[in-house]
Amino acid sequence: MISITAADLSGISPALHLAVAGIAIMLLDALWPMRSKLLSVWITLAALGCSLTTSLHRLTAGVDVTLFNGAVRMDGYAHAFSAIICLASTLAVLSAPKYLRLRGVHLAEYYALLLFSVCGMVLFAAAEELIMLFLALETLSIPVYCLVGFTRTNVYSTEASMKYFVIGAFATGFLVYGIALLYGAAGSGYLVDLRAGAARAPGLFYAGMTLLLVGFLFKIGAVPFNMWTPDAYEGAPTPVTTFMAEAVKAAPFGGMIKVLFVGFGFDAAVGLWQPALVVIAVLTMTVGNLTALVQTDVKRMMGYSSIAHSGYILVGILAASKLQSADALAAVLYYLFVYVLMNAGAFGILILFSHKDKDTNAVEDLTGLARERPWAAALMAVYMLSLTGLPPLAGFFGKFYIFSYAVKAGYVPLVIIAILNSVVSAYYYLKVIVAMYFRGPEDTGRAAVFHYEGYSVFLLAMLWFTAWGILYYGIHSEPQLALARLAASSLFATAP
Amino acid sequence: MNFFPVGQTHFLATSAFLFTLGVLTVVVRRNLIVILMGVELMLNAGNLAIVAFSRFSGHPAGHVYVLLIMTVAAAEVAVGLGILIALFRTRKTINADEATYLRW
Repeated sequence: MISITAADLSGISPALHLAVAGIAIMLLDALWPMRSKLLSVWITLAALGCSLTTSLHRLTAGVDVTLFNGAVRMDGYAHAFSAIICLASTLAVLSAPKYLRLRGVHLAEYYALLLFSVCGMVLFAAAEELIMLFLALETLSIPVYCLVGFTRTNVYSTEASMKYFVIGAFATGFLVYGIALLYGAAGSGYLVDLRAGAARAPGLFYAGMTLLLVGFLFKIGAVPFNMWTPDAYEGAPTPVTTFMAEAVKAAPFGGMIKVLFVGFGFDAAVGLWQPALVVIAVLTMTVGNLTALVQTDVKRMMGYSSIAHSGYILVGILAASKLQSADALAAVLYYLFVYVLMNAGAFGILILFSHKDKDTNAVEDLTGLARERPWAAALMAVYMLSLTGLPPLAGFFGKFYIFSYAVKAGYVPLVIIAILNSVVSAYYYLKVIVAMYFRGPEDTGRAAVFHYEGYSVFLLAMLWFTAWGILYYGIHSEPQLALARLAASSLFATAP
Repeated sequence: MNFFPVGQTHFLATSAFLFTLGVLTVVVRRNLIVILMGVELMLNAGNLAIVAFSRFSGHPAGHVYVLLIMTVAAAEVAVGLGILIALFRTRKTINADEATYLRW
């Protein structure tokens, strides 16, 4: 007799808050459509806040429970990812209301879809079984396809949505077939049992592992599976791009790291994924950065930059897998946290200067911003310098920890390539700063393009929080790292 | 009377064939509805493989996996067709080659 107990439900309460709030918003919108818009913003923020505090509280308390007959495990690792993702989603929600209202698509469904997606993300890092992993990944992805096409009369938005959907569904096909083969090889769907499949049916196992990895690499936007990233980032409404660039970016790493470390393991026979990931990390960093160099659209440039950052994160994962140390994995979690702050801020500035008819997207649109709006320009400069990785900003420490562990693990050539890539990336991040500070309308020969139509309190709070976080958590990284170490060690407790 | 014993290998070969067919459809065809059909073929190839493994290993969980995957596939197609209609309304085409506003 299989039953769902109260302990199961309270165990997954970080995900449950979000799902219940999403359903509540949809009901509210149907019953009380006049007032549901602003109310749904507050419900969303409250639900995300509840999940965030619950996750953080359970992470520090060391809660580690296995639920639903072993399908879900809410340990420190899952709680840490839940916290990062809820923070990222909160920032994305804060950026949305004004932008959507200006375009006449401020609908309650936006928040409901976002919450369902976040619910999937929280479960993705907690899944202990292949089918749970698949369900969480689809719960995560399908609402995002809709969100990308949310301004549905806009040709760019619908096209981006279609491209993202087709490639996402294609990746799902690989993932399902990979799951099928791994299930056949291991005779069980539990991640901890997967490794046994390598001895029982090596052919099936390695084919399944390859297909599953291809599916994951599509989701994180690694080269050569990255073609959707720039298009989806550019075409999506900017608040959705914000959401994609931080939450949707960070979440797939949760499940991927777990499958690699707990499922496939590090034994010489099974650990064949390591050399493959080295090649993919190098390609991802290099292609992402080199293509970003020639972009003139900030959103598209950030798309390629996010590909490059996936490469850095892969370096961190490789280091953690080689050293098999919780400290090295903690560096990856810290990097994800910092990455969320930097990206949310950068897109927030674009949203601040977007108006009804036109988004402020091109690098040229920001020309002369520093003279007219010095504070906004200063914030953007902080985000860009942090993305470049300049000390003493948080972006520098994120990269520094990852690279130092990679050196310790013996991946010296990989780190050299990564550092060269960081140097290259400075060119396109600084291009934005140059446009803001050192060029004026007289250089481009046209009037200033950016429009400032008043601020929204939500957006302003988001911008100041991210900037403060980048300045503060860089130097005071120890509390964050301690939490991340707690999370990472709980994953290594189950890894072989 | 068992003229042609069908074993696990036959099922797996069929499913691998279907999967390849699905991948080729997605890669080669340009009509978005046909691409969606290709994706469905890939997912159902996975389903067939899971059912076969489950049946021949006596591990019943696989049957449930397939039901869940079919549910998700249905949801995905619903969203996909919705996106297709939105695209058709703005663009009057569902040919993947003509969706070229976004490119570097």
